[in-house]
Amino acid sequence: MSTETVNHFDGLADKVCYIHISNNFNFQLFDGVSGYGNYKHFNSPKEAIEEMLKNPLVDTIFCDIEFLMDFINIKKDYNKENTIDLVPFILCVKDYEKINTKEILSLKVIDEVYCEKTNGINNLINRISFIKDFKRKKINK
Amino acid sequence: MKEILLVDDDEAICAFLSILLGKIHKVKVAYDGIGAMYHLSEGYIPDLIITDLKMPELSGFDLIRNIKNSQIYRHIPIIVLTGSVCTEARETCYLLGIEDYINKPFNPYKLKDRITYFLNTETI
Repeated sequence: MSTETVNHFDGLADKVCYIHISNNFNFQLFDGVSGYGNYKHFNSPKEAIEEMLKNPLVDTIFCDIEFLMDFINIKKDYNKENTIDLVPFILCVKDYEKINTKEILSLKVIDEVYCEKTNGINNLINRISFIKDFKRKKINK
Repeated sequence: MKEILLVDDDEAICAFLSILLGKIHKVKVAYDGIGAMYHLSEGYIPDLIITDLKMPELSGFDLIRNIKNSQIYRHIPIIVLTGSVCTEARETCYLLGIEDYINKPFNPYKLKDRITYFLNTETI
């Protein structure tokens, strides 16, 4: 797997970051989140996790379904203080109907699913904000 | 057996509905919105949610908003069961996407009818 990292900062360095783990730069997602923060695209879960651990502005991880298992496996080596678990994790899918929701939720990693065809970014951003607070409360419980 | 998530901070209502609905359905109880979200985040996907509006920690409005904004949970029918009779609350709930709104004190037979309708079951 290539470890090339592609960053797309728009100069607003103090804004939150939305990391996307994907084979391709996703223009629709970039366009959707750019009003709220920076979009950073990685085609390697390892590099994405390393970025997240060194950058406190990382707000959310979007991850294409193809990288899900890689992400889960790599996360185990980095998640000693549950830092990664505090960050909302959004699974990106092309077709929501084709995934087995119960099976995916049973992995206990995914907080929400984003499907380009059906989700609105504004609703998703509101939901991410809730998930972030909720995860903090849940971990501190 | 269908699964119902009951969300209400009134323990008496929860106990009553658990007995009433528990004969036919599997009922899980949460005493506030956060408790309900906790169940959902653990991978629990009920067939129906019955929720109050005024609750500590996370209100019924916020719970509904979160569920209806979620790709994963938005298909779950929600019945609001509340003591709030104000028209604004009812309208807000319908705008958020709930399926039904029932005021307390409620007629248990009416509630059972609505549950049957949304769960598409004949046996309750």
